[in-house]
Amino acid sequence: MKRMNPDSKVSATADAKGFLDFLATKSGAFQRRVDAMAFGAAYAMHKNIDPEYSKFAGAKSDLVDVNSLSNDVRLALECGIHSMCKKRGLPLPEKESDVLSLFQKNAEAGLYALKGRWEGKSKAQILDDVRKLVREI
Amino acid sequence: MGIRLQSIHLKNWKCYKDEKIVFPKTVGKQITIIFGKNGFGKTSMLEAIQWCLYGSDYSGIANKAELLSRFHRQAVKSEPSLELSIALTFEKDGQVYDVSRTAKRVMKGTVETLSVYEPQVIIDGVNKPDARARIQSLLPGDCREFFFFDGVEIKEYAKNLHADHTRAAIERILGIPELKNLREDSDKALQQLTGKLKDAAADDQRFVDLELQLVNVQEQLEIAESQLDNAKSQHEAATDIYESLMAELKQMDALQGKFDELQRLEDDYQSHDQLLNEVNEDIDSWLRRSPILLLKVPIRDVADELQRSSAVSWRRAGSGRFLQFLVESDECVCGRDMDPAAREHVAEELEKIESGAIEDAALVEADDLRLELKHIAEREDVNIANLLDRRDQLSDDVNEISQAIDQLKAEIGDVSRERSRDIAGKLQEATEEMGKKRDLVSSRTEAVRQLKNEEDKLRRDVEQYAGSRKETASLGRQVELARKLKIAAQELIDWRITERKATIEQQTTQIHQQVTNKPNEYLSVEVKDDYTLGIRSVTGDLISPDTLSAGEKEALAFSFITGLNLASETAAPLVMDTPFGHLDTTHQGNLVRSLPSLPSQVVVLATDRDFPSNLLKEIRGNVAELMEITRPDEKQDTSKVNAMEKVK
Repeated sequence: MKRMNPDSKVSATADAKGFLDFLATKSGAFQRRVDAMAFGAAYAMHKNIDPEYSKFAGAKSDLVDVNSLSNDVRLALECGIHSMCKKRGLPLPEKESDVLSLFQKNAEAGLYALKGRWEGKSKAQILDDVRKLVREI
Repeated sequence: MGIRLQSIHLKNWKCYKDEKIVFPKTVGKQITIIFGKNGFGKTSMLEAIQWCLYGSDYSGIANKAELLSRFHRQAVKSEPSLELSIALTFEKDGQVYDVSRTAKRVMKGTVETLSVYEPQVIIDGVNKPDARARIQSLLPGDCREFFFFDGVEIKEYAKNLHADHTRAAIERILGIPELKNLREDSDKALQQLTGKLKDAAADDQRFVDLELQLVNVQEQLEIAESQLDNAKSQHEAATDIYESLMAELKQMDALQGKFDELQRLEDDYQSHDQLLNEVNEDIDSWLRRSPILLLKVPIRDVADELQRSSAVSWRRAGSGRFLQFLVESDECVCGRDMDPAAREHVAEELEKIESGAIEDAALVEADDLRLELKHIAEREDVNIANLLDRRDQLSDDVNEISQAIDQLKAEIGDVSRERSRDIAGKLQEATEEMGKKRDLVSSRTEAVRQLKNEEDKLRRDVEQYAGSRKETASLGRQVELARKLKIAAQELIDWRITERKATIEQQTTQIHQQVTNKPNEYLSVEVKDDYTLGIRSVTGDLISPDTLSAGEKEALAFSFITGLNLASETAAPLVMDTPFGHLDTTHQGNLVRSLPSLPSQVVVLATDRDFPSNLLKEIRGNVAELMEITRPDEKQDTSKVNAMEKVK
């Protein structure tokens, strides 16, 4: 299984960044934008959402280093990407940058799906929804 | 009963166009209640009574413009030149007093002018001169606040410092001005006679010497008395500081329990808040790990995949090492010699395996990863539902404690524990200072006493010497008599004040016991030398009105006003404007229940809030009549006063 380069930068489109700001600042549900992004990617993979599903647009900008995510979370995401490629018949990533790119695509797709579900919700409501999603497993 | 108000007749006054209110005389029923909603004309009626009696002197209608605003609005529109008048009828000692006052508004072109006429007093149908003096004699203007008072301002009488006019009014009730006049008259006579004596004995050296000594002692006495006054003022100031600190300290003592409770709550808040932060951190940590929870299936899949591939690799790696052993060995596993063909086959197999380039390090790394994934997938996560419940519970607890803290802080106010310590220190200083000033007063009192004795002796010497001389004998005796009269007048004043104050204290205490909600805690009401009040508690402390609650202040003021009214020996009617509605229910009940025991006529201008139906029923047997102010025609801006048929 190919892994991400911990020193590379995680980036997001302007629209996705706007929603991440809402999640991390306005609602305060997530402590950091990168945590919300990780959840978005996991959500997309869990719900088997097409990585190209997002209609978020705008210039991409760097957020933080990949290693700001804990090793466990990174591993989980990398496993998710590996499995998703297999499930969708996509070529397995050969380079670290491929894994990162797939992570970002999934994050955007997941966040785009979650936007309709969470926009305007409070921290408690979002937290409760995350709890329900996890309970589904 | 002393003075009774029989009727009020209001013409063109504010909302009253032509309204006569007659107060029925019913034996044993001295209370009349006039109900009226706000804005219906209760205060206007009280104001009308005061204007009729005192004009602009005491009624609060200071100028003509204000009086012009009292004309009935609608009547002025139809009749610009209009007369307003108030007529009051009193009964006193079997005589009927008709007191009236009139003002006329006249329009000259577009300019309105006003003529205010002197009041008129008719006693038993005979018009009397000196109407103002007669009104003052009937119901002194200085004392008006003891007859006609506004319930909202009543607590002013319980304050620590009375205004000059209030002090004058109290002295008037006590009958002090007349006695002061007597003292001043005797003093004047003494001075005149002393002057005559001096003139008559001017050529007598012995008399002149004695006079000179007397003047010297009098000068010293004047200085000593002034120093004594000064020392007394200092002592009073030190006592005030001491008492105020004592009151504050008592308040602090009463708050001690609340301080302890506050400390406990703040500690509790801190520990709960810390627990809440910890739980929130656990929740945030769970949320950061939530992608793992969503991806447990792929994690397990990858772990399984790694396990499968590593098992094959290890198997292969294990086989390779075995074939290498066979190639290098002389005999086969069966113990026989290895033939070349077999050795060649084994070498070929070995080459195949080695071409897979399986390295032990990579195998170890992959296996480590597999184990790590297995560990991640199998890691038992916290129960988020429990965490959220715990957070909600802690959050509720923190809010509850925070509210309790806010409430307690509001009860405690600005007082702090530091202030408590500060006061204890200051109280020590104040006690010492008060002691010093008391000693100073004692020493100066003694100095004054000695000088007075000396002055007295010299006076007697002068009078004796004058009496021994034929030319001045008569004058000497007259001076002696005038001096004794002056001393007697002063003694009479002192006695009168003491006696009247005792009466007022007794009356006020009696009423206060009925109206206070702490009759078991308060022994008596005391009137101080400056006519301010104090309440003697059962513990012996003299409580300053400043430390009382608003309701207690009003109860004290009500007792004082009615006590003064009773002590005035005129038992003047008490007209009260909305006196009870804003009080707490206990004080309200006590005050209302005390009304029947007052020997004066009582007229209460009230809203429904002043007399809740249960209270009204309680005193109904003592009420002569219930009246109601109504507004039959709102367009006419006119109020009417009618008798009410039933008890509310």
